[in-house]
Amino acid sequence: MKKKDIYLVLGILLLAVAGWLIYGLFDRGSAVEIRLHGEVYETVSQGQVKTVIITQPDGKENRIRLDEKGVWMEHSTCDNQICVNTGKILFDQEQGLSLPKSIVCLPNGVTVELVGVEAGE
Amino acid sequence: MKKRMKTKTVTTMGLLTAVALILGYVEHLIPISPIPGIKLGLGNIVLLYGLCLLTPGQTWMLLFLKVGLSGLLFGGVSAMAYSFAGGILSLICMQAMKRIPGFSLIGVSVVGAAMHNVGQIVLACLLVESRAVLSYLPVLLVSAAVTGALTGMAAQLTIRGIEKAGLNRHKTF
Repeated sequence: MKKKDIYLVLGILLLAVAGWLIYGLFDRGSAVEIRLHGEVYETVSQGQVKTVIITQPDGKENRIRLDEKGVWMEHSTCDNQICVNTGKILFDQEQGLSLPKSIVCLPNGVTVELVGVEAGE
Repeated sequence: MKKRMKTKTVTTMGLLTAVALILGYVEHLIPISPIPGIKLGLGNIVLLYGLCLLTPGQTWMLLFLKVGLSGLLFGGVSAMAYSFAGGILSLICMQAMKRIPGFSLIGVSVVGAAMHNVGQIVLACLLVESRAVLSYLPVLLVSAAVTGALTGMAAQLTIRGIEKAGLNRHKTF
């Protein structure tokens, strides 16, 4: 291990922390944008209690639940279940910076993201 | 003029491909995180070996064999696509890194691991057409810095051992 290697590792860690802060701190939203294969499927503003079910022609299904505090993926037909395991993402930062701001289900092409009202239109 | 592959080259490539596949399989058995992409990257040890002791062409061949075969054996089509995206970007950057003086194999490995994740995230962004996927990148970068350093050390020890034992004669092909 050389000196430059250590600088490199530190540099990458710094970059990661910076990215994390920028994403987590300054861009928390007040609406939920649900996208299917990149196109906005539905935008729900904060405060609504709702269940959104996305069914695709090939049998893929995602069930997204919303309440006053946040949004979570209740059920997905995908094989890795990462979206379901992400848990609930909250509008308020009461649980600190470690909280994710989006739920991604890659196999089914579904993303759920907190966005500002203006971004959600 | 195209030369036929020497028997020794064929044997070495076969052996290294097998090692890469086994390492990939062993890795599947060690669940360290529910997020895919966060993994030890043991297979990269073989590519680092290739970078040091094989020709660039042979190293590329190793990458394609490793990704293609492990995709067929363990992953599936989408897993293979992600591995290719990560692997190709990773190998390009590692080859560039190798030429920059002042870095040891550990630095090369860290860059490789980080770029592997960047490649996968970029493909995910293109496939899902959403920037939401980008939020995983910071976590993946942290894990790449750690696992990349570890696999780099492992590769360094391996290569040193092999050179000591005088088994690196295929350098001459």
